[in-house]
Amino acid sequence: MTATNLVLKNTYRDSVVLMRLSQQMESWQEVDQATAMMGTPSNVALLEQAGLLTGGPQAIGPNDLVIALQISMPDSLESVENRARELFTAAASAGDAKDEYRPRTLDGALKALPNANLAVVSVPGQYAAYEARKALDRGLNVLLFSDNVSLDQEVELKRRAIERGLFMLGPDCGTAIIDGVPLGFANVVPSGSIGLVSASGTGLQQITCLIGGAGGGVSQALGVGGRDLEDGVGGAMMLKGLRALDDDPGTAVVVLVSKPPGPATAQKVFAALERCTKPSVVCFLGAEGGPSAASNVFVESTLEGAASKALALAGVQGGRAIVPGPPADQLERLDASLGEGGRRIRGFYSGGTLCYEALLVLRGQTEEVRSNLRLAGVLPIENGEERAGHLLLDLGHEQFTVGRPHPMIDPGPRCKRLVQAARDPDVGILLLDVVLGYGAHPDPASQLAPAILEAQRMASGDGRALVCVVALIGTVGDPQDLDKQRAALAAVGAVVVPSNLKAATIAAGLSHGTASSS
Amino acid sequence: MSEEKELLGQRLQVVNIGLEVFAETLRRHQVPLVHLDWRPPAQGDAHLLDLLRRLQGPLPGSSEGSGERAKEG
Repeated sequence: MTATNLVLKNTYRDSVVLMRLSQQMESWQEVDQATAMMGTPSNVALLEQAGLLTGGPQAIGPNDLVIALQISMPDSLESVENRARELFTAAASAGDAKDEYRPRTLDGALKALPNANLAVVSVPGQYAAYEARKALDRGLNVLLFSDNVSLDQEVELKRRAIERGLFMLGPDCGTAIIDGVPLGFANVVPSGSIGLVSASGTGLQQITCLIGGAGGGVSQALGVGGRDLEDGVGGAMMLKGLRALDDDPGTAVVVLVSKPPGPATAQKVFAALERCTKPSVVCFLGAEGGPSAASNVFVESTLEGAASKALALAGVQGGRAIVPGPPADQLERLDASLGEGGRRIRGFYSGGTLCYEALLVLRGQTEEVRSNLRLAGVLPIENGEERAGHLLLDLGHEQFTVGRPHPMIDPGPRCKRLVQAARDPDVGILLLDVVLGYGAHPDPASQLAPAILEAQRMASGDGRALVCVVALIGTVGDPQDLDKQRAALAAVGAVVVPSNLKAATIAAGLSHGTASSS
Repeated sequence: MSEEKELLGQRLQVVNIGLEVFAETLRRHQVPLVHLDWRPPAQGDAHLLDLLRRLQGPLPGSSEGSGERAKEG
């Protein structure tokens, strides 16, 4: 085995491109392991700790691209290095965009596209507020996909946007469908009369997918950032979005989604809803009560319930259950397979709100529940990931995404966790979301299904069963092929349902032996 | 017509700053687009970036700058 580093000076590639190219190099016969990162101090330290840095870190700058390779055939060192260099050079001008003009500055971009009205910003967090601010100052609306943006920065950016009559969607809620155009993480949903404003990216995706799957359609969907309804931000963009949907002739029903808002902001939002001329559905997940609602404001406590109510109000269907569960005999079989073995749940989520909704289902049960998300009745993670009780992790949380792609884009880290979880004899149930749509991995089941299978084989080797429950969030129009994804996950024995609430309820039922009645 | 109509109900024209994968989606939807050849500002130097941020000027509340572009289109 030979280790080598290539340092491409002043060469920037984004984290998704780096992931794709690393995977491509790992598919080469001569390469055992390939890692490509920008040479930021934290990344260089990571490479050094992993023993992947062959020279000193001194010569590497934050604008340099570092490729660390472990080569199994030392004779091929030079040819592998040359191919890697070519690969990364070619990536600058890939695909159908190779002849496209790419200005280096925002002002250059605005010369090329003088009527631009939106900047989509997805640069690393430490630069995100700077770039978003530049765009707002030039009169552009902003969708800020990046996370790791501070609350102070968010407040500042949103105040600036409001002053200028602009939208500042995000941060850390990188999704929108504007006049049928998907932005960031978004699903292919038919056009229709239901408009959404959501402080939850995956909450928005779940509801739009359930609406699409039940024959409804979406007019607009605006992700306003996970903290928009905290009192510090004051619902600046949700209130602006609500006004926009009230004015939008294509919207007949409005849906608002968030985790519990700050008390002052909740009052503002409900007051605004009373002024709204259209019927509305409010889903503040985990909120205890709320101001009394006006006659055309309907409060729902789950994402599935919000989708169902919105469909009924839009006249698509009469509020019947939109998500059939799996057959009871399948659940009985799985329940029986767990026998006397461990029944603890390990939930690995890419969607923060989906993780949060699952915690709402699991908290208050006899078994302790731990998570990296904060919620009353849920214990924090101390000393690493403690083994006692159920554990649900939001792997899309910014603590896990610094310098690397979101888990919706890169299933790799989740695959490793699935296999790790199988080693714990107390664990009997794996729970995960698989979110499809634009921006997400082109074929997540192709990576997750083999990992589930490996986890099950490991458990089986110890004489245990391991049941996997998947919330598959997507539509038939999504580029990943919903049916293919479902089939690949079902082929490894996973219970696959289109609703996160249903998946969490099934997992909870399996954990205490009552799944067939869930 | 309220100010919010300036994003909704208009033809989107996008400057993409960051992940190329989002530009790919927009190209597929024939959205007029410029993808920036973005590099970390100040060559990734944290101290210089901090100085650049300060140079962006006063916090909101001032009348500096212009929002005219959004109102044109």
